Amino acid sequence: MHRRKFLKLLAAVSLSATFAPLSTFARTLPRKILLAVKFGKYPGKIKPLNKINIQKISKWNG
Amino acid sequence: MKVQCELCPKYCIIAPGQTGDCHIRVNVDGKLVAVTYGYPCSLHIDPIEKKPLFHFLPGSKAFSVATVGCNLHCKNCQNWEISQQFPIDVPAYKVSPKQIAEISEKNKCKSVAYTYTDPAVFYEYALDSSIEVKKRGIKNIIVTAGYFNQKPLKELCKHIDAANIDLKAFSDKFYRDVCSATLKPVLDSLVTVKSAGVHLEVTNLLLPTMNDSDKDIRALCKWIKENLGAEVPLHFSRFSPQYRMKNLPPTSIETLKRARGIAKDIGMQYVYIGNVIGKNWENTFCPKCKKELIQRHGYTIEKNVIKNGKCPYCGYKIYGVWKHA
Repeated sequence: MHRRKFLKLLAAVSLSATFAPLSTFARTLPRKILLAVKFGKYPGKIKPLNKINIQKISKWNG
Repeated sequence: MKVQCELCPKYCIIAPGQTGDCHIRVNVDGKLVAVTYGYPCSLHIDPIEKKPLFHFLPGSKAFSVATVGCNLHCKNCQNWEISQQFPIDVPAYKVSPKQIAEISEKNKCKSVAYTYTDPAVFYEYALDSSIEVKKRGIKNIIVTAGYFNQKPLKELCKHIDAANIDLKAFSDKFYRDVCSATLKPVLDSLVTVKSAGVHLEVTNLLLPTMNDSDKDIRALCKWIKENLGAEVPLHFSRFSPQYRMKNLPPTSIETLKRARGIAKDIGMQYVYIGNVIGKNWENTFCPKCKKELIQRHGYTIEKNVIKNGKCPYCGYKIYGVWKHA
């Protein structure tokens, strides 16, 4: 029984040690995006500013 | 070097090269950068009734601006395609604050609304734009969840004329479970905005079984009446299954009517039902003589008899901004 408990604990510790740093990496932006931000550029695509959409009727408030 | 963002109550501590919880504030070499400054992803001209603002320049057009990202992660978000994404995933326009003012003036909009996602996360852009907009005599509106820190909110309020704050529920548990936020800062924001002299309206989206009990609705209305005043317009909006809450049905009309009844019983003067078209729940009545003052159909004004901000039948002052000063 003690052995089983110990193995469970060991598994939990090793899983956290493996996956916890991944959440940190997930929030780190790729270098390409960071460079864009650094130079004041938008990291996504730029849409042309043509005609502004005029909405008279819409489904929801917002 | 890590930096701490002090814009909202989440106080994100951001390591170099990482973003805050809102996805748009990045630590670049120890400096916090708002990636979406000058890059709105949504630009629309909406009827002001869509915000919803029923007591602020009715029938006028609002130039509506939003960028990607949000500091809340509501499971029922109706704009999740822009609010819950990263800037790299959503194309944007390149528009300076000065251009925001120019476009709104060109399109004869009486106001600019910082909306759809949340002006809390594009704070600097909304602040600079509101200054430019004000120079041209155009009004500024924020449509927000109110999850701000008080210092930046007070600064923004200096340039804002009207606000619709979404009070999502009167329960901290709801805020934690559904929105990944807390209730107290939202209540503080409501009080701050009202005491700053900004025209205020409150919205409450009713989610079946989540925040629609009599007890919840009563507590919410009572708090509004005691802390903001009975004159603050209250909008109960109908929920439509969205994003991560597709398991819930849309709010029933009965529930919306029940909520309106509770609010009226408590003494709220102007209570509306939103996202349901074609009933007189969208109309404004005089709290004193009970006569109909504004008749609406969806976002269209069919009749408005308010004169100089007063009821023409009994002279009662109706809360709101009725003329563009």
